[in-house]
Amino acid sequence: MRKNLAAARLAVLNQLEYRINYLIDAAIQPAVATVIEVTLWLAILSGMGLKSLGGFGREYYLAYALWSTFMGRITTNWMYEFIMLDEIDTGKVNAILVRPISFYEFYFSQFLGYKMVTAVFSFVLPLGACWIFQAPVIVERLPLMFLLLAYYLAFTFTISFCIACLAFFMNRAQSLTGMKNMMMWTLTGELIPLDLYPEPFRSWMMHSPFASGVYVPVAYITGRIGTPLVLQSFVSITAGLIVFAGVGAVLWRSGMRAYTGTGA
Amino acid sequence: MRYFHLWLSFLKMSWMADLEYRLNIVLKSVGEIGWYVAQLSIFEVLYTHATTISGWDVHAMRVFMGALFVADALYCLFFQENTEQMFTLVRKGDLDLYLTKPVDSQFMISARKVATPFFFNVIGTMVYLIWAIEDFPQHVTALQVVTFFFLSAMGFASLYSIRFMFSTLTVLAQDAGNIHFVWYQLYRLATRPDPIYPFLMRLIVLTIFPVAFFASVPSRVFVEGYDWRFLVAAPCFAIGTFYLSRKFWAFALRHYSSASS
Repeated sequence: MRKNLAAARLAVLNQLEYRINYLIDAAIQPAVATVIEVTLWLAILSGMGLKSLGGFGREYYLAYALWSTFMGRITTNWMYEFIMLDEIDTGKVNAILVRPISFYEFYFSQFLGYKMVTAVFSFVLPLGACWIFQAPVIVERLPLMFLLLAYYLAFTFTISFCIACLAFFMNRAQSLTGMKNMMMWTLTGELIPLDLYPEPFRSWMMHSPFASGVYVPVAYITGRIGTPLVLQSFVSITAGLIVFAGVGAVLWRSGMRAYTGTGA
Repeated sequence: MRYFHLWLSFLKMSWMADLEYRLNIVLKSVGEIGWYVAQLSIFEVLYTHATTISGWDVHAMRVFMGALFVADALYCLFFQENTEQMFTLVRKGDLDLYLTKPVDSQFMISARKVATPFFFNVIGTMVYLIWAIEDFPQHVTALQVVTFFFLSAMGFASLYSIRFMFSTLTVLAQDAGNIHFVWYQLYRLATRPDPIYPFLMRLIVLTIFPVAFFASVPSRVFVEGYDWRFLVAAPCFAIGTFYLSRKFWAFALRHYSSASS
């Protein structure tokens, strides 16, 4: 545990090293993203001339836009996936292999540390905006939402780990990150609430573990869905986690067998 | 002509470098297609709940999307990797190397890498755009097509110039690499047709931050017909933003302190 905390602290210190970059990452970018997301949704709803869409009024979409931006940023993994890919690709992974902490643990701890330090500040934005605009938020549901998000982070990081392991077999696997995040963008519901999709896509997407990245937590705290779907999401994340952890373990083992340390 | 030959050399070098990793070409190209699908899915889903959005039906929206995708694919092909890497060049001190070359430094920084995998995306998006125009219920004249391409070319020049200015910020604020993410958020304003915005926001995207000229204004030629104001404004913005990007680049270089010296 102390090793994990040290790795998480390392991530926090790395983030704070470039202060302007951190300020952009934790405050400016989320603020701009939130304003734009809200603008786009309100513009679309006004343009459609509808009082409600999919059975929910404008205030629900305002709340959805505010929170989905926050959730999307928290659950997406670009940076550490690129770092892991690069470490394996360039042979820098050697330095981690000799440490008394596994590659997965080392970066997972850093990933959590980084997400923690950005989430704390970014969280204020949607909460404050919801309070100002009187958008629906059920405050007592926040703890379960955070629990689901934390669990989802383990899932999303495990997928990142699987992609990083592909660097053992491919010379350039960075494009996979873009592809994966693009897919997640749609499947998590960050782009558009999943309940707006026609059947059967709606049911498939809402019950996939990816929905827990944005749609389920946002829909839960804004009152679009109830607790049973959240509990079911824990189950689907667990199933997804088992699958990707298995894939990751196989890829890592076969990768280590195929790997010739370039820095050795 | 000298610059064109130089660019051809960049293209050749980029193509050779990209061919080294063939699977990467496929992945990059497919990854971008994912973005197109995501954008299309928004409107295709919304149009299952309404017939028009601000007077634009699904056919008009497809033309707009086609125009947006073509502009985006062309931007990715010619400039994206160069503008995105400017922060890395500054941080590692590699920018100095390019500044000492006997060619215009803005050209060198903007054009040195051509992302050849996106060539396939340009073709694919062109096909989609042609399909969307052909599928458009109203008759489309040759003059409309010519006007569309003229406005698109002007919009593309504005897109490059504004994006380049954004990247130039990393020369001034050398620990602000995340500024790219802010750009991507602002760019999202260009991914919707401007008539859907409320008056004030529409005014902003058509004047102060003219992202509507990337795809929205050109596609309006098919949807709403000609508007002489846009025919005048588009070249003015193209020339104006390009001039500003040159001035801003020169200003940034005056304040640039090399990282490698």
